[in-house]
Amino acid sequence: MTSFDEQRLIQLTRDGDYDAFNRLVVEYQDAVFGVVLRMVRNRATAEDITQDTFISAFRKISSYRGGIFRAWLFRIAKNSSLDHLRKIARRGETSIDEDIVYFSETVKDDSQDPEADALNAELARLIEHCMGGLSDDHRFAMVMIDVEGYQYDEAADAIGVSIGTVKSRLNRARARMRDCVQQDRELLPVSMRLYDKEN
Amino acid sequence: MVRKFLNRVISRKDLSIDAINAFVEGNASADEIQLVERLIRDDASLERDLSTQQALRSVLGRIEKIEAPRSYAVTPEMVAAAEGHDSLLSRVAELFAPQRKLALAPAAIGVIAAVGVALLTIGDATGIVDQSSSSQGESFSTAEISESADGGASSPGVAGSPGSSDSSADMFTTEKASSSTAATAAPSAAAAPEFDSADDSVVAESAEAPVAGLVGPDTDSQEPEPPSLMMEAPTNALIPDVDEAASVAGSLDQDSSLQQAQRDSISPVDSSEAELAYAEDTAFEPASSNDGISLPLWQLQAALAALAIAAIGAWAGLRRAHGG
Repeated sequence: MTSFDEQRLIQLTRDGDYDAFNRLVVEYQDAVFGVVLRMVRNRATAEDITQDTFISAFRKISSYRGGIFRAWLFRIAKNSSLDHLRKIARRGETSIDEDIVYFSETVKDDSQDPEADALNAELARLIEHCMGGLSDDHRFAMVMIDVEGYQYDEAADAIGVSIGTVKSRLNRARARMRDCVQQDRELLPVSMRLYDKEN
Repeated sequence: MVRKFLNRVISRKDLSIDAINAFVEGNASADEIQLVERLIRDDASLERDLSTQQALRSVLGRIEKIEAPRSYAVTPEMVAAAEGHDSLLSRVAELFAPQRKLALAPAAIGVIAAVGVALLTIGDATGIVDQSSSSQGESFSTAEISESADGGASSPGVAGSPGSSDSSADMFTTEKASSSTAATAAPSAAAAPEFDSADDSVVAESAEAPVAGLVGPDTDSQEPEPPSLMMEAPTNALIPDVDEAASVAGSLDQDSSLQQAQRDSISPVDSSEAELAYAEDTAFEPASSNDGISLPLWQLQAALAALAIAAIGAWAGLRRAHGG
């Protein structure tokens, strides 16, 4: 979709055109759902938050002042996700699907080696565990940049902070992830084990 | 200068963070690589840390994108349901403060009002603040003054003591009219000389025995009546141009600062004339016609509590309306 099309669809949405907005939904629903799911780590909750995000976006489309539309959607999604996480933290509950690891089945490996696949699954499980230990802000920065591959400016727009803050959070998130995964060195790829403290 | 210094420190830190991030991501410039190499020379462990981060990032980059399990298309019914689901309060809050940052305004109002309630409650409990006089007392006082006006300055009648019509009370008329509020507290008599009273002897008498006047009514008709008999009359019934501060001071009879404000509002004219003129003005008016804004204590507390609840509710609704 070209930028022109997007702006035109946004303008039509402002006029109350549901079809135009739903074309935007189709374009961005995978991205929004992916980020939300990696934040809340519960499929049912992620689906609810994603739906609420698009409903809120439609209702508040008049407050969109330009810029990267996807980042604006991410910001709504992020606020809803953090709201949800704060709520469950206040209640002392957990809504995380402990048995479902959203990285384990998705780490790509071209080796076609069952042993490598198993190792990758374990590695992904470890990554999942370590990402769960990050703060919400750090996790969001890491999901946006390292997992989803967005640019710093888009992540900054989505989070609502400066690019420098995003870089700083990402730097700390990577350092904590490094410390965390080093605790299970046998699961790490060889490249990551080369600099084992014991060696 | 401080700002420049901070900017220099922060930018230096940013430079190293930028360089490390770029190095881990594999897109560092020549300058950034030089900086990282210098950092590695300073700290040998940094090299293995950066290698680990590079490997970790490559693993994260291999994670497949997640696809949405269903369509999240929005329908008019969904929007209508969402709008109906929003509380009335949040909609009102949204209407008055569409920007998220303005959500702090009702929160601040709520906190201030809550503090006001707390202070009033504490003042009430400790006896610093009293419930203001009722409208019945005010009505009585006005009637008394009207009677006083009819009888002329020579037979004023003593407010709060209908049966006491001794002529010796005449001596107090001026004092009563000019500083009736001052008579409500023991120290008030000392303030009486500030006014241009027609009868200095009365002022002196009141100043000598202010406490006795608070103990109870003196039935001895030969002696000047103590100020206690006069303090029944609320200030605003005697002062022609009583302002809001004077009204509030009626309920806060121990608050010396408000009493001072009240005294300041009294014009130093002949009190008998003022009393007469005011009595004529108010003889056929309801007692509360000149009260201005005068809330008794419990009403003030209730009003502030309601304000606090409403403001905090608006703040909460606004936060919810903004999704934050």
